[in-house]
Amino acid sequence: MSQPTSDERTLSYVMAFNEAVRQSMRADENVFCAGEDIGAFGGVFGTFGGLQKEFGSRRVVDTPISEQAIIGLGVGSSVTGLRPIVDLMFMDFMCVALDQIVNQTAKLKYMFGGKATLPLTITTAGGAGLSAAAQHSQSLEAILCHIPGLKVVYPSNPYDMKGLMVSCIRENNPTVMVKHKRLLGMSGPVPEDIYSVPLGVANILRPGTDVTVVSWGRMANESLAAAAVLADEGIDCEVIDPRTLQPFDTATVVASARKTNRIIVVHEAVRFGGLGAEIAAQVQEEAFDYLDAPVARIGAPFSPVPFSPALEKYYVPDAASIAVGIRDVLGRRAPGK
Amino acid sequence: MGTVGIITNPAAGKDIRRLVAHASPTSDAAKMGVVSRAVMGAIDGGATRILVAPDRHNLSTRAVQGLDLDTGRSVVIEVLDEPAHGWSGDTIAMASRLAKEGADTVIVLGGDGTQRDVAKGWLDVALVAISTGTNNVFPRSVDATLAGLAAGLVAAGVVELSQVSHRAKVAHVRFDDGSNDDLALVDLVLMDGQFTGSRAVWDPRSLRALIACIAEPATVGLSSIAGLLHPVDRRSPGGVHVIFGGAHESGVVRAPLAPGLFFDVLYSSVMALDEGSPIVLTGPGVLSFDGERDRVLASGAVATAEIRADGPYVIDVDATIAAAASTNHFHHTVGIPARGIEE
Amino acid sequence: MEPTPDVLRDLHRRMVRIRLFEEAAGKLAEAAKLPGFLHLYVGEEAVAAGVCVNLTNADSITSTHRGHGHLVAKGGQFRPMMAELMGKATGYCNGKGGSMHISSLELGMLGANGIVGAGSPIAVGAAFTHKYRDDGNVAVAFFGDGATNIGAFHEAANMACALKLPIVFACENNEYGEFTRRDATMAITDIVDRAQGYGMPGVIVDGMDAVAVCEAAAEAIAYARAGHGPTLVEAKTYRFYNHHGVQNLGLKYRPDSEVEVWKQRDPIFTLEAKLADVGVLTTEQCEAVWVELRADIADAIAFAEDSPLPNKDQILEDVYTPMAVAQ
Repeated sequence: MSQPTSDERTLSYVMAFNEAVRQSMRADENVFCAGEDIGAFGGVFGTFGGLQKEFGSRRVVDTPISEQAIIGLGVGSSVTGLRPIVDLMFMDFMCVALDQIVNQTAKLKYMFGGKATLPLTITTAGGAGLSAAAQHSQSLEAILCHIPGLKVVYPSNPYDMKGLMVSCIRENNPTVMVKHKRLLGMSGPVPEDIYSVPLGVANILRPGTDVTVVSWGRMANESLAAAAVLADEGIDCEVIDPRTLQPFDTATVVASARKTNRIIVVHEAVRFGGLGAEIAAQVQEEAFDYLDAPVARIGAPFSPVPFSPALEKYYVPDAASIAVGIRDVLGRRAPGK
Repeated sequence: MGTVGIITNPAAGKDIRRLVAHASPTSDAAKMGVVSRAVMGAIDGGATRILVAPDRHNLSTRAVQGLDLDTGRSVVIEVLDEPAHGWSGDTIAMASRLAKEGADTVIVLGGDGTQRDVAKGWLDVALVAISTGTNNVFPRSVDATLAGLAAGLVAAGVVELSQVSHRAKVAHVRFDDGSNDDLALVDLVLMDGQFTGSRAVWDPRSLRALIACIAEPATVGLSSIAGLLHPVDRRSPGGVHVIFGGAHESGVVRAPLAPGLFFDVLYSSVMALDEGSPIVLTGPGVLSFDGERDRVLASGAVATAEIRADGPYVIDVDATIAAAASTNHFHHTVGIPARGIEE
Repeated sequence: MEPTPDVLRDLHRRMVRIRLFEEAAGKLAEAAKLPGFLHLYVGEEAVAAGVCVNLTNADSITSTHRGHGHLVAKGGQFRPMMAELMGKATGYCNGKGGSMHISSLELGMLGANGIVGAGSPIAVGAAFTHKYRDDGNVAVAFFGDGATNIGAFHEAANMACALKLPIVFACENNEYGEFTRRDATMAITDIVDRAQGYGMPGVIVDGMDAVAVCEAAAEAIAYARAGHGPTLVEAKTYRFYNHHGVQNLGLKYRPDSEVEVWKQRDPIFTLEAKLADVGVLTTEQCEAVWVELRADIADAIAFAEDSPLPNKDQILEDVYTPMAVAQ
């Protein structure tokens, strides 16, 4: 796929999201947005800023604080032919709407013998780093990826954000677009014209030969930072951002593991039962003979996200802790140790 | 000694007129508040025994359970062991039972239809009617506190029933097929149709004949047609007979047939109806009693109606309290309660 | 307003279709010919038929776990319904939904639903589409008294009112939530008392009187079509059978005498008596409807029994919609 070039326009992650929605709404009258505070206020992170001004309250709908009804609105309107974007302000709030997401959204098509089509996009904001504590900071993507019928997308940069969001809106299946709260201000090249990044296709953010690092969302950026540090130590990391977590681009990851012979998965969610476990299992199934070390995983400790910045700092993996993990996979020590 | 009965119709104020007209809903919670206030009023008026008729929703029993009865008097509150099934027969049965139990006065919560059912169960009941229904021509708007007080004052003998009540008029209806007689307290209407359906009436084109016991101009409902054309108030003898449709429509009257719902109603004739003078209504059609379609009249079937002032003794709440006040009933010297002293 | 004779005959036919389908399904279940759970609609026919006789295929409904009646009332055909109950490939859902998820989008029936209360938010979404497109169509959410105790219902009712959507909340108050009396689980008696809290009109109608339901539903649907917003119509009704299965008497949680009282008000026989009285359908004409539809049921059972089972390869079909164009 085409990578952005340096002379392109830059845009923030949040505005890339906003532009994807805006351009999709201009292109397709069936697209509308609904969620808490997204209309007059423009969304708590400004994600939907200015959209109601352009498209009016008919197409950019302020809803009650009713997560089940918000998802139900998306299910019912998509199955009757619209292309809704419904927003859950924080990823944690999906738990309030889990019946509508898991039992309705994901299963309607199958239960109806394939006769239903749900071109529904659920958008939400995940991740820690704002001292938002245990109910506003979680990374719950593993739960969603476990449910047949859903597609799950988690972009790590503005370019992917716009392209993946356009794909989600055009997709004829329910998708969950997770924005990372700490990436909202991240700036990067984003073409002005509407474009899509395909779902289910991983992106090799940094080619390398010594070790494969699989990571998404904010952690992909931390992994890149770790790779930059390790490059100075002569370690050449290949950083892969799957971008779409369900369906997962196992082929790209396995091919990389066969090449580098060592692989580590980094995610912000707790390690136990996280997506790292699934990826590790897939890699050992497909590339066991190629591995020179057990598949490693980095994730958060098995606790709720703590409030205090002092604790949260240690809770969330960062470039330094990822570098430690990568060195371990390679049996190396940090310089000077 | 004074015994006050209380009957609550849980179904009142919830029919289709909240949709086809602009009637307000009356929730169970609101009705329970009315029951509580009425019972407290009755006790303060001097009732020593309160007979609570059960209802399908247990509104009355729940309402009295929460009362603070520390009034300094001994009051017995009994719930009748009469089954409530959830249909209009409940109200009829409860009224009959209260007659047997010797209630001095009865407080009834409901609309015109509920008051009618009470009269069917106990024709000459001494009644305080509280409106919780929809059109409410028969029960007047009155706060339950005062309605209860009036019921208590009469039951306790503080005020004479004959001084403060009038005998309600009743449209008695008998059928040629030998089925049980029926009655209406406000209006009896023959209309086109074959079903009782959702029971309320709001289509003026379906009307064929109206017999109004109460024909007062300032009312809502079918009887308002008569009230606007030829007023005969509730205390005056006789009623009004209006005929609709036919070849000779003589006029149009604009009337509120349901809450917030005004229609131009075409009519052919309006006649005063003397007490005891029979009117024959012939099917096919549907008979509406006090605003509710209640009986289908087959083709050729005949119903005969006549108005007589032999219905419930309707207690005038204002007059009752005024009468009690005029005897200094509520007055006492500082420091010495007028009532509540063991004599 | 009273339904016309044509509507009354249609209403009667829909009710008889429901009754016959359900009785047949019950017999098949007793003979162990139906897998899974079976929630029968017998006794409540007046509600589904009385509402749906006022709808077209372009109007949307959401249903409950007791959903066969709603699909039949919306025009569901016996053959694919019976096949679905048997888990056959020719069923409405290719055997993947079964009794609890039976649906037909072309009929505007957005699914029976195994989660109590879950249909209402979906109906809100369908109503949103109708308003968004200004197509004059409406959504009806069917649900029971028990569903009004779950959050999804409250969220849906509130949102529908806030957005003034063309929707009718049609409550089948059959006095029991599964195996527990309604009065053990809520402090109110009339579901319609909740309507005020959302800011919509709520009306009670006799759910055993098909004409009454039809009349009230017609008004509520017209109100929604006219853009006035949601209403709550509570039909007082009763299920003759157990929460699931085919037992009707001798249940621990409800007295037989109560069942007998309600059965005396059987909505179909009540309607037939009225229709005969007014000459819309004679007793003989009513009987002819039963005879004709019994033949349809027999045909549907034979069709379903002869139909193939889905094959193993179909497990993975229909999880996702294939995207026609690679992006």
